[in-house]
Amino acid sequence: MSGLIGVGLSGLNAAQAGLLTTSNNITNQSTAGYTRQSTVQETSISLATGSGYIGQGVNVATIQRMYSQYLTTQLWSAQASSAEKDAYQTQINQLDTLLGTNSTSLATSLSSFQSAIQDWSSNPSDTASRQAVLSTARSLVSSFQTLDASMTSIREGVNQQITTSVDTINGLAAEVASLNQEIKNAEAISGGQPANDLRDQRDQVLFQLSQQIRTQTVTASDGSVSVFIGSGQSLVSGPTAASLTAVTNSEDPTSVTVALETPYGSRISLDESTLTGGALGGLLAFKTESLDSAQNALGQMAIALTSAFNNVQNSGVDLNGNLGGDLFTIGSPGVTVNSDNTGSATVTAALVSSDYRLTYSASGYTVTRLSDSADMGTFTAGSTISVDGVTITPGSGTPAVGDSFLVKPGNDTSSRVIAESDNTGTASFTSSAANSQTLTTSDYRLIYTSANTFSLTRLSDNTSWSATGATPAAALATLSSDIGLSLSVSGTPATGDSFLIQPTRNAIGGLSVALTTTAALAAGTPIKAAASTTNTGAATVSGGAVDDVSQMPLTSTMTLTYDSSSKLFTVSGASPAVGDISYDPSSQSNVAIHINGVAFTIAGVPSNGDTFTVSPSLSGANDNRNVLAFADLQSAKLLGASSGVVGSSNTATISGAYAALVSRVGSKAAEISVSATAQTALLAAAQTARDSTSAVNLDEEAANLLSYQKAYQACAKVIDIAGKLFDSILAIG
Amino acid sequence: MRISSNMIYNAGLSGIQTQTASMLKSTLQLSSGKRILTPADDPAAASQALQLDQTLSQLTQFNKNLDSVAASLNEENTQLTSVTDQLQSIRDLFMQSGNSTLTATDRNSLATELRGRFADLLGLANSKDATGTYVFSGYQNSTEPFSADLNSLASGTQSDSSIYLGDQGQREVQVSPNERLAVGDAGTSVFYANGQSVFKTIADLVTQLESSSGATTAQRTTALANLDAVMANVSSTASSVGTRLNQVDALQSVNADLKVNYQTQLSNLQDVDVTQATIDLTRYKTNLEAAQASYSQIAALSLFNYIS
Repeated sequence: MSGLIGVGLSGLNAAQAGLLTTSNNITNQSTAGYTRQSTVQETSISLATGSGYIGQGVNVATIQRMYSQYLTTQLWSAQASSAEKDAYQTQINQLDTLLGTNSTSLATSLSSFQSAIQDWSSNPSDTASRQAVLSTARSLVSSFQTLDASMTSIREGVNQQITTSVDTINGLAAEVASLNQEIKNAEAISGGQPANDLRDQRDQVLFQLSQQIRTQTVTASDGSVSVFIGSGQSLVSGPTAASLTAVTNSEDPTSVTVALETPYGSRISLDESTLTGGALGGLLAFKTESLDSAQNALGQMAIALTSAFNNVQNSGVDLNGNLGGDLFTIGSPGVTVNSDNTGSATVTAALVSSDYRLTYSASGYTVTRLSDSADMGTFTAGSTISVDGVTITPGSGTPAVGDSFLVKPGNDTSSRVIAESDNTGTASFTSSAANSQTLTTSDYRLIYTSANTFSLTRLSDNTSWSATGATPAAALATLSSDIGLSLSVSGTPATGDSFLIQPTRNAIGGLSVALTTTAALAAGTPIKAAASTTNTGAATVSGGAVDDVSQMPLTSTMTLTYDSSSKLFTVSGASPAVGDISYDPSSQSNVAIHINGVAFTIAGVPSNGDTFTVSPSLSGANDNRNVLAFADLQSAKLLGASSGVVGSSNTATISGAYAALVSRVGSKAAEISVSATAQTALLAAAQTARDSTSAVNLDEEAANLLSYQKAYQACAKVIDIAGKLFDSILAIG
Repeated sequence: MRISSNMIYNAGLSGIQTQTASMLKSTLQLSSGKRILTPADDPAAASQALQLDQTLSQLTQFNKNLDSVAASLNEENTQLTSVTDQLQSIRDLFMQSGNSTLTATDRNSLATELRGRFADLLGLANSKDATGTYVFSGYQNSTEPFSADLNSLASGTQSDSSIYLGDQGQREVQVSPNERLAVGDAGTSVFYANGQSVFKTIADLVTQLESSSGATTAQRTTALANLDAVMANVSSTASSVGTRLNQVDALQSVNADLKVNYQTQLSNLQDVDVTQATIDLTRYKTNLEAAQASYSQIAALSLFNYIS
């Protein structure tokens, strides 16, 4: 009988444990990360008798979690991907809305500016029209600045969120480490029984960690979990946790990057490209993939636009009879010296907007930069000339001493190199495009790799170039044509020193309208070409444009007199003197003449002795030739040429470039939206798979409750019967 | 598959959220009238719409330019008609001066009348348009284009080439992406012919008529030939103005067509299809109601309801 009571009691205990476990499941039904538990029952060791083993009841072996490590890890991974896309999406939607909104749209102010210029062309000396040009130029500048400032504030927000995310990761990592210790202790105390609730808690913390960053986990035999991030850096190892710090990028002080502080006190920089997944991964990816290139693209447009408008303005004459000063100012390319550098060198990257003159003498071509009359050196005939990031390549033909060529890198490919009309040699050149037209939206890293050797890497696609020279400066100058900027170095670099070059990032920071008075807008062209009223031939002269601003204003009137027997024009009054220019009306219907920095065209048949004059024109209030040149910029392709490639032409207008930027950001936002939706679905699927195994179903628990209740009642009946049996025995006596 | 209670709640909730989001988007589309709320909705169309917007504003500007060109050309046309009339009456006086019965007094009175015509013609050559710009001065606008004195011109103290203070510039206005129309004509191309100005021709003849012997036949023939050449010049300038005015008309009508065309394209790209959006909205609303109804029914199911 006592055996019967014992058996009944063991069942009663087991049913009670079952009831407790079920109740616990029911009450924790909505607890985040809770894994349903169940009792594992086993039969007690049977009693051996002559008539066989007699069962001794039931025993609860353990309380186990309905848990799958595989499904849980899947869930963490899906969570990391989904959180990454969500963070990316939140940010890029801001950028998308910013670029697409009409009121902040650059396109609108660009249109107004161009309309004002068209109005101005109808009334070149009208103060109101000129005022409209200046005002719309200012609103254009402010549109650029608004967009740039908004992008900067998005950048600051991202940096802030990176810091927050890093703090969260540190908190969660410390929690995992301390739970590792607690689980180890708890399971030792219970003699190896699993600490179900602590393990649930740790899984939940790891789940939260996956919202911030993608992790790899390894479970050790003592039950502790080690967590790795990036390319295998240990974040949690047993009971110790490392921590991340958001630090100022040593390369770029405006940027925040992530480093790992090991528990042993050392700091390891983490490669941002390996920190994927989670909010942190999404923020870092948004910054490098989308934000940097969008902000750089805006700077690139501002540079191309201001450079083109300044060039036109510089070639014109204003209402006061002066040559036009710059219309806009623009920020210079940025070069940041890495704070880890050990050398003393500083690098300068300059955006040069100048024309060049090549003059041939017996010793070769002397190259003069026209903006400041700087002597850029002498190059032997036939060699490629590389100055300020512009490459000029000779064609076939040979030069004659005194021949001169004007190189205008900002022009269309066909007119980048202009031979003077009185050249007697046959040499010709082709040139690459101007600095302002060849900049990319990428940043560049410059590393002094070994003695007198620099390597340059374009960060958007990791294309790199390397150059060795006699000195660091010579090596660097060679790389100028690859980046399309004039690079120079001062001080002494040490091997391994690196520099971050941001050609366009600071452009808008320095953008403003330089002109303050309406009279300073240059509507006219400072020269005029005219046929004498006493000419008897039918030849006409047209055009009249400036090739070389540095020779303006003309100091004298040049007179071209036709000699019909020699079929040439003699030029008098030119300073410097100009040689004869041949013109044979029987074979040429017109001739484009380029002398002393001016260009004009003579067409038709002149009579012997007919004269044509080119003279300074500084007071033509009704002259709108320069305004028309401004207006032409609206449809002119001003950017997109490749640096260092002769004959490479521009591919985009300013408004086209803006539309392309909007479309690029829009496409990326659409792409991220699609993948965010997909990742959300995958996350839901992973959650469903995990829940299918581990989450509580109340109906099931209700059934279990009933089942354990019945078991309890049955076991109680056993004890009841044992009692009655005992009573029967007692009744005998 | 084993279903947990949470799965039922989550599935219901996510269905409701998806439908609500779709409904919100349709509502925003309908209230803004735009199909593309941000460029991400259709990046290619958003970029095209930006370009079209730009083209449209350019077109509007060209129409404005055309109006201003038309006004200037009409003005010039009027001036040229007056110049032609004036030249015609001068020519009549030239013809009269050949009459062999003329006395010295007759010649003098002819000369006096020619002097008057000279002043009238000079006035016309110095005329301004409605915006205050000299019609025949080229790029110069600060001084009158012609400053001629009949006596000095005839005596040679004023050289024929120095009377024109304008230049040979011709202001152009952009009227289409690749077309410019010239406004105004330089004085040299209207009032000069055969290497001399019409003013010199008149001045010479006037002085000759006023001389005691009168003008010789040869002098009169030269004067008439020079005058006729100037008249031919004026007439060809007038016909060039007429041609340009025709171009203005043609471009205005082309631009009107283009504008409608671009506006249609732009509307197709970015405007919402109201019918479609309304139908979508109704559909999402129905779906949302269904999701809500099914959720509330399923969530109410529980075995506990039956355990007493």
